[in-house]
This record gives sequence, C-alpha cells and structure tokens, in this order.
Amino acid sequence: MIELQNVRIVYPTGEGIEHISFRVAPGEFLTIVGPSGAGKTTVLRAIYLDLWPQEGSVQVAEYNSLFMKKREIPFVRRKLGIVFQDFRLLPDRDVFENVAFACQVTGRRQKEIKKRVLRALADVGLSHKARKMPNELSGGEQQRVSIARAIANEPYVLLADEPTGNLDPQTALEIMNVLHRIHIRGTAVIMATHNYEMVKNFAERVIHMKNGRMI
Amino acid sequence: MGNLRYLLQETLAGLCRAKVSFFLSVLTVGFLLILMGLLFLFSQNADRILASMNAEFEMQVFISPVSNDAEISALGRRLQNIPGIEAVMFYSKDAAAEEFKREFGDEIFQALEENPLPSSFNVRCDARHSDAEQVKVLVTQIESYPGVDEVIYQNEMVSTLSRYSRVVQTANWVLLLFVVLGSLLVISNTVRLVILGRQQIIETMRLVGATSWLIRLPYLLQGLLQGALGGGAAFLLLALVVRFVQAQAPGVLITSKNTLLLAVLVGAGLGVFASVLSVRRFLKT
Repeated sequence: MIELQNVRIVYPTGEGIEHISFRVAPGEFLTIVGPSGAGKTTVLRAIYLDLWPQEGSVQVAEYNSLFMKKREIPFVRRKLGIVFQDFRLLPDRDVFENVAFACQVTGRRQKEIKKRVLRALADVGLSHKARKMPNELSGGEQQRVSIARAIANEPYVLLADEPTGNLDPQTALEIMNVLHRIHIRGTAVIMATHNYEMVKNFAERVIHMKNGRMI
Repeated sequence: MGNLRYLLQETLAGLCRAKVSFFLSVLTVGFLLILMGLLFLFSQNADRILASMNAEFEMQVFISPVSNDAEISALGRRLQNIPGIEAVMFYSKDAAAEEFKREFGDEIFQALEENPLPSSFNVRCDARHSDAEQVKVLVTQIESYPGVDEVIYQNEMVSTLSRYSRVVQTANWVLLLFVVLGSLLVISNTVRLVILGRQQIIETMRLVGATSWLIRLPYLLQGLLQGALGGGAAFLLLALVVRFVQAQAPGVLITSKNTLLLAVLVGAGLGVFASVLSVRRFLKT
C-alpha cells in the first residue's frame, strides 16, 4: 500500500506540490495526468523519497516518512521499480547486465539473479536481445529493458514517469501493453503522463494535476 | 555474494577508467614515502649511533702541576659527586708516562730530565647526561674547579652527528606534512575523477535501492589500493636500499622489516582518508 497524506514539497523557485493526498492499493493501476510542470514527477520523487516531504507524510509499505530514518531510503526503493522517460540504461553494459545490475546491488545470489533477469526479459519480450548493447536497440526496446530492470526485483509498485514520452505512438502502445501485463499479474503501477489520450484505454483510476495540486 | 562481486568489479572498473591518474597517484605516494622512509632510517640510525657513543662518553680532566696530593684527592671527590658522572679514575704522572711509552717509545723521557705529562682523571658520563649540550655545560663546570688545568673530550663528532640528527628530524616532520598533503591531494583527485565519471551508475544504484555503503565502498577501496600500492613500492625500494647499505657497511644501518612495512600502512591509511574526503564532497547518496 502507498499513501500520501497532505504532502507539500516546494522548490526554492516557489514551484512544487501542495495538498497531495491519495492512496494506492496493491495491484491498482493509477495514472497521474497533467501538463508539463504540473508536479507529476515531484509526486513520484516524493514516493521514492528522492524528495522528502516538507509537510505531510509518505507511506510505502511499512515505511512512513514521518517515522523512518533517511538511511532506510534504500529499503523503501527496493519495494519500488522505477521507469523513466529517458530509460537511464548503463551504456557500457549489455541488456542482461543492465537488468542484473538492479539485483546485484541489492545483494542477491548469482544464481537467483540469472533466474530473475531471464524472467524479467521474457516478460518484456526481449529474451533474444539479452547480449545486445543499449545503443543497438530501438527506443521502445530500451524502454522495455528499463521496465525489465524495474521489475527484476519483483517490486511492490512500479513507478513510471512519462514512460512513453520519447516514443512514437505505435511503440508507446507496446510499452503500455507491457505495463498492463505487469499490472494484470498483480503489481501496482503508478504512471505519470501528460498524454491522457494515449493512456485512457488502460487507465483504471486517474488523478489530474495542475500547478502542483490535484484537481 | 552479489555485493562482493559488484564491489570488486566496480573498484577495478573505476581505476581502469582513470588509469593515468591512478598510476600517477601510486607513483607520487610511493616517491614521497620513499623520501620519508630514507630520512626516517637516517634519523633512526643516527640516534642509535649517538646513543652508543654517548653511552661510552669519556673526558680527560688534566690536573694542574702545582696541585698537591690533598688537592688532587679533593678534586677527585668533587668530580665523583657531580650528577651524571658514572666513574672517575685517577691516572698519575707515572701511569700517563707508562702509557705514553707504550704508544710512542721512551726517547722523549731520555731527552728530558723529568716527566712532562700531567696527572689526570678519566671521567665517564652516563648515557642520560651525555648529549652535546649537557657535556658542554659539564666541561665548563669542571674547568672552573681549582686544580683543573684542562678538560679534553672528543666533542666534534658527537656534536656534528647530534646536529645532523636534529636537522633530519625536523626535515622529517616537514616532509611528513608534504607526504600527508601530497598524498591526500593526488589520491582524492583521482577518486574525484572516478566519481564524476560514474555519476550515471551512482544514480542508477540509488534508484534501485543500493545502500550508501555499497555505493561508497568502491571509491574507498580505490583510495586504499592507491595508497597501499604506493606504500608497497616504497617498502620494496627501501628494503633494497637497506640490504645494499648493510652489505656495503655492516652495522651502520639497522632496521626491521616491520618498520619498513609501516610505509604500506601509512600509504593505505592516507589512501582511505583521501577517499573519504572525496566521497563526502562529491558523492551524494
């Protein structure tokens, strides 16, 4: 379960988010929609505690920002999988290594890592490209690798920040189908996007944002 | 297991990425430690030689020819009561003449009507009161006693060695400062370069839930490795120098392997400290 209660985060420029409250149950698919600068990314960053709420609280599973210590942040993030618009793959590692990296740094055994990586790559339909380097892949494929990396640790919730933002409509649809399949299997998904038209067929629950507030 | 594998991979990958800088760091640290090690060896051995010379330090107190027996024995008692004087031995005019004859023959005594050599006290100081400065004070004090004609001691070498030893000790402290600052500068700069070149991987690690320690450790290990390798190079070279000097002049240079191994420890310690500085400054987890 994820719950934000009256969260406020204001940047030194004066922009930010205020009065953000919502709850995401296990297995839910939540879409946060709003124009650029509405505060969608800030909400996601608050969930993975890249930004600490100045007011209010963020609860991720058993961790609550009001009561936890900052050194516990890595353990919160292990419950989440994060996907970005710009993929953020490591260019000097192949597809397998990029996905394995997430398991490796969380201390899993080599044998288990291999199993998880192969399953994650199968889930996103990229088993046949495990030894390709990121620069040998199309944008859609790179995003699928990034999704595989996010789900390899079997997260509680998958956070996707404009996952289709850099992709053409056809590829974007493929990515949405991948996210949908992951959701169907029981992982909660929170996706931020400015393109409601593109995602409306998949949206179960939608939060609209504007100028840092929910509307 | 996964963590250990990652640590090793990342530590080596980072160093390979900045290999020129890494090589220069090792070289600089090694060079500075060698320089410090040489001065340390000199200082350590000069102290040892000085201590052994001081332990055997003796002076000759010549008695005025006009002194009578009572005055001579009073002087002897006075010398014995000076703090720091271990033994006082009287050499009569006759004993001095005997020794002179043994060394130079008795021609001079055949030419002269009487024995020209003065009687004297041979005075031995203990080790605690025999550094150059204290000896000088002691000599001045003894020279002021009635019945004393002259005090002779071999002060040249003692004071020269003692002076050099002090200069080297001071130089060693100054050099230690250079070693510390120089090593910190080059190692922390190398680690900084590696951190700046690994921003993407650091960011990814943060996002997938790697702990701060796991993110930082490769950089600390890199510093440790640079310092320890520099120290290792210094150890090898110093060991060679010691072996060479010991073969050429036995007994002059004495040191232990453990003392030389200090170079590796100092290097490693400096390496870790330099990394901590860079990690704290440039790596936000």
